[in-house]
Amino acid sequence: MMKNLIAPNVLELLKKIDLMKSKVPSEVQAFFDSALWEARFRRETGRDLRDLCLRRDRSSTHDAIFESVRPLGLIGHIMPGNSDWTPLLAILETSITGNTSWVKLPSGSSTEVILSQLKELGLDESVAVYTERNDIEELYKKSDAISAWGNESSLDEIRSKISSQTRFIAWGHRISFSYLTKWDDAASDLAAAIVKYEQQACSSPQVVYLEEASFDEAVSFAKELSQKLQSYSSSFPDIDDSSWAELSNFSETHFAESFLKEKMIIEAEDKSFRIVVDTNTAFEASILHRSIFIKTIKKNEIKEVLRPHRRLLQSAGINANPQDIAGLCEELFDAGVSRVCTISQMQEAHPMESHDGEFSLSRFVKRVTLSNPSLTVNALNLAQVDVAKTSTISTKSDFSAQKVENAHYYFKSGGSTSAPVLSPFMLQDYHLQMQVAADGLIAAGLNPKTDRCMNLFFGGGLYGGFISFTDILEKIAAIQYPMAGYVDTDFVLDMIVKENVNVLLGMPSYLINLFKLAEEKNIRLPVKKIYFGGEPFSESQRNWLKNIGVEIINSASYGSVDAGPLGYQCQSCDPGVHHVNTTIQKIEIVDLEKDEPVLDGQVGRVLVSSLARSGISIQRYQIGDTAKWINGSCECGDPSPRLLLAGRVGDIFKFGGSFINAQSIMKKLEVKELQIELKHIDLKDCLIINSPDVNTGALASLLELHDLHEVVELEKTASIEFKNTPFIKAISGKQPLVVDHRHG
Amino acid sequence: MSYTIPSKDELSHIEQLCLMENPYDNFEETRELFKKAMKENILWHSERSEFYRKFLVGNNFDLNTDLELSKVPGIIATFFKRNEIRSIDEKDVSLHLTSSGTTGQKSQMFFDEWTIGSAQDMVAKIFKHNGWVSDQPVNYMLYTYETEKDSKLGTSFTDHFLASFAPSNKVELALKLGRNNKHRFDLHGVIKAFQDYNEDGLPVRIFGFPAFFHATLEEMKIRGIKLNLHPESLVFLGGGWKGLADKQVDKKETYLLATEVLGIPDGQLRDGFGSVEHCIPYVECENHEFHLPIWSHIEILDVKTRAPLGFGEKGFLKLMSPYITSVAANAVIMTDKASLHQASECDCKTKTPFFRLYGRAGVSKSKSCAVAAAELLGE
Repeated sequence: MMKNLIAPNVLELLKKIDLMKSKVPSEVQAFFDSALWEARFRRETGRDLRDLCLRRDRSSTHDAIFESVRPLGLIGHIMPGNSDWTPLLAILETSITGNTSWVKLPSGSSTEVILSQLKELGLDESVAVYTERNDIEELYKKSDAISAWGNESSLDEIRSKISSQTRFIAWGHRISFSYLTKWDDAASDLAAAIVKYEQQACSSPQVVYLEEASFDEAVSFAKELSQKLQSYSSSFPDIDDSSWAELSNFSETHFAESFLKEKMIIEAEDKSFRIVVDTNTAFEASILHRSIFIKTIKKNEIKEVLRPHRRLLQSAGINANPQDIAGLCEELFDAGVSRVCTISQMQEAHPMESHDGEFSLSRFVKRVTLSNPSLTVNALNLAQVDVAKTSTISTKSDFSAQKVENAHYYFKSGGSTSAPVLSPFMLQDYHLQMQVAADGLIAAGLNPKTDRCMNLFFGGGLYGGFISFTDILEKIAAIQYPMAGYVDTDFVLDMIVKENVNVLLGMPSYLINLFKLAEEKNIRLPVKKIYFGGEPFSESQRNWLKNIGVEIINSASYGSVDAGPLGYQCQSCDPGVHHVNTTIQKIEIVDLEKDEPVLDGQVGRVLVSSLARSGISIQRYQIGDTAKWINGSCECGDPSPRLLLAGRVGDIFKFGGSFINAQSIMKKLEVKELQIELKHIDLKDCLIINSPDVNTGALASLLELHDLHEVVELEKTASIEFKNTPFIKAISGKQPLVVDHRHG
Repeated sequence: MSYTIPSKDELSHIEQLCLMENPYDNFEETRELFKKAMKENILWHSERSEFYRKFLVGNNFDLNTDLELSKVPGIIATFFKRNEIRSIDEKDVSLHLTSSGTTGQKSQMFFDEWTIGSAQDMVAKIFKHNGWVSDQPVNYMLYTYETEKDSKLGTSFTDHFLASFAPSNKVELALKLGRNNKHRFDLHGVIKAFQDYNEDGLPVRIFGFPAFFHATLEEMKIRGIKLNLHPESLVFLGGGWKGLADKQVDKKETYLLATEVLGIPDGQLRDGFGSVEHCIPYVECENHEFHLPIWSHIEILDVKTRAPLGFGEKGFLKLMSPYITSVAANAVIMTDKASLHQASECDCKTKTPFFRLYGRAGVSKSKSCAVAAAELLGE
């Protein structure tokens, strides 16, 4: 009877894997590294395990097909008798791919250790452990795949119990050998390879081929090898009489045959090794326990020699001149070998290496697809797993206090303090985030097959804008002109016209300037779509652009250099409304003053917790924006939550007991230049509008704003004044919109 | 006797030894003759087999000194499974036999008239010593492969030969040839035959593979069949004690069952040991011990070092005899595990040393994920 298993929480598992590292022996520590598993998953399945949503490739011919990978379901492991760590590592492979697993250990094994290891990894609810054959009989039919280790006959037996449609992943016995085209310096390494693991590993050499060697040359090498092996004699393990009998049988047989054929045997005095030299090229398995064949072979013969054993081959340890290696590899691969290495590396497979010619993780997942040409989004985001609030709100100073030495990208962080702060990104996180932003661009209406895009964001000086959009456009294989915010605007205009560029990406101020210049020069730009960032377009700017033929004006991406891309606009989003990039970010909106979620319709502070950022921690990071949630589902089909941006935190101030957003004041007054000062006059809050463009109807206009009306006219707790004086500048040189004199 | 020694000059002591009538008399006294015969045999093969000559040199064996039996180099039986050697011309080969190995390769052995003739006579002499030569008809149960009389399979040859010491009334073969030339163990037919023999009241002689005999007895016990065969009935088995399911069958268990189910006295239940590489017959005495006939010398070798061991110690079985002139197999190392014991340790009337068997010496289960030799072969 099998208990009900639940699918493992992969992200939690990765954390626990790291925690276990210091508790395992050094030879397996490399496997207890979450970075290794993430890298393997990426390499072997083609997807980042943090990003498994259905996504399509709009640049491909199959662009209507959304694809991803998913676990198979329940996978059974049938383990061999010999290895301590293989069962646990195999379980990690099926767990990291999201499957539930069961494992059958050899009959009579103790399960204490593995059960406690599973508990420590948080896998005790996801994995069942058995030792008796009877217990697993019913599991064959219930499993989606069986992964088994053993010799051919035991594998055949297992295969006969499962349906031919159940995925059978067999890790059979394998045999490895050495192939030397030169051997003057090979004896030492070969002896070490023979002794390691006492040849019991599938990667241990059982035969050594010497290319174009004569019998005498082979004998000479054998003697050299025997001297090296002799030095290991004291480490020869205790073996039982049965094994000794087999070794003696081997030695006596080849000894007798040495008088009948062209062969010879060197057997150690203390029987700690056996070397048989033979001119018969036939591939033979040795009797192990430091027994090896040295055979002579002609060039180009290896394929025929190995032909009958192709399916059993694993590693070939070679020694050759550098210029011959590539050719020799091809010969060996052609003969059935999947792994070629130096002799000393035969037993040192890297944890990232494929095994027996396969990427095992790809066998534990299935490829899933959705075909739906009517969907406009590029990715169908999965529901975000709710993460418990574990920390307090963090700010810019927390961000800049973190030191990251080994990131791949360092961009200049936003902000206006004197010392430049850098925002570090690991390559795999950066690329995942760029992919998500690219998904957003597609949803915002960019068509990579037909649009010709010019990237006018600023670059250089460690700016992230230009580079990130180059990468984003590359992810969707868009046609792009990497112009950056170039000073020679004549050239820019020229190129737009000549190359029929219909999509511009850049900052509103640069873009507006460009269009104005075009208007002055009577140039009609073929631009139909604008994707902007860095600052918003005003309503009048949008209208002006629409009038001259621009059809789409959307966010290129809502994000910050610090936190990465946070959201995107689909074609149904009103200005300022963005879907959250739930794959990579968790967004909270909290009250302007307290750390509590906002109520329905309430504007609050945006906090970002990054789900795909290593090296630096972005947890409940206050990025300085305010927003409110938009309820309901969007007609584009993406279920991710939407927010409506409401200006910078600094734009919002307390006035007469209410929160007032300076942006609304600016919108209402429709002035080009404005600075708001707040003072206490007669102990009451006074709002001072400082602008050269104010007209007589300004006050009345302002009082149409509900909050101001309430506070100034009804409650009479505050007042409004107007002036026109030079703006106050901050130390950074910027002109703040709001200067609050009331505190301190 | 219709066979003659290939060379009276060169092999006179071999002839003398092998033609002796009593298999077990004067064992100690015949050792000198044995040594002389061995020396003749060694010289014979060194002159006729290039392989053997080199083999002796490679073993630093000096023909010119006094012979010490422990110094005679042995050839491991596996060698004969992989190679064919002969010391005689093809025209002199009168018989060619293969061994009946359960897996893997089979030994190919060649016999001239002398070798097979003298070996068969040895069997006859032992049968006579045991009082098993009779002119009274008996019923036979042969647990062997139904096949042509001139089959190359050593066991079939042997078992048909064994049936020549007493005339046959009826003969039943247990392993019948069916479709596709495959053999089928006819359990049902065998039990019917036994019941039939029980009615006949004649002595029954049972020869062949122990495993099938054991299976028959188990089935008969399950069915509750109890017979009472003639007290002079004889069970003489050989060919290894691996059960049908590849498990070791306990010989003692078989004997108990045979007495219980067939009524044959324990003393009439005899195992036989031999091999196609070394055809000297070793037949259990009434105490179920394998005594050496005078034509044989046995040593036990350490399984690791192949150094000779003393009485009672367990190791490889090295079988030596000078009878064989066709192939240089005068000293064969079997991969069976055995121990040698002095004559005094057994109180039966056969006053020669004896050996005990403990199964195959080297059958370790590979615990690694590396391909084992057997896997590579099995394709």
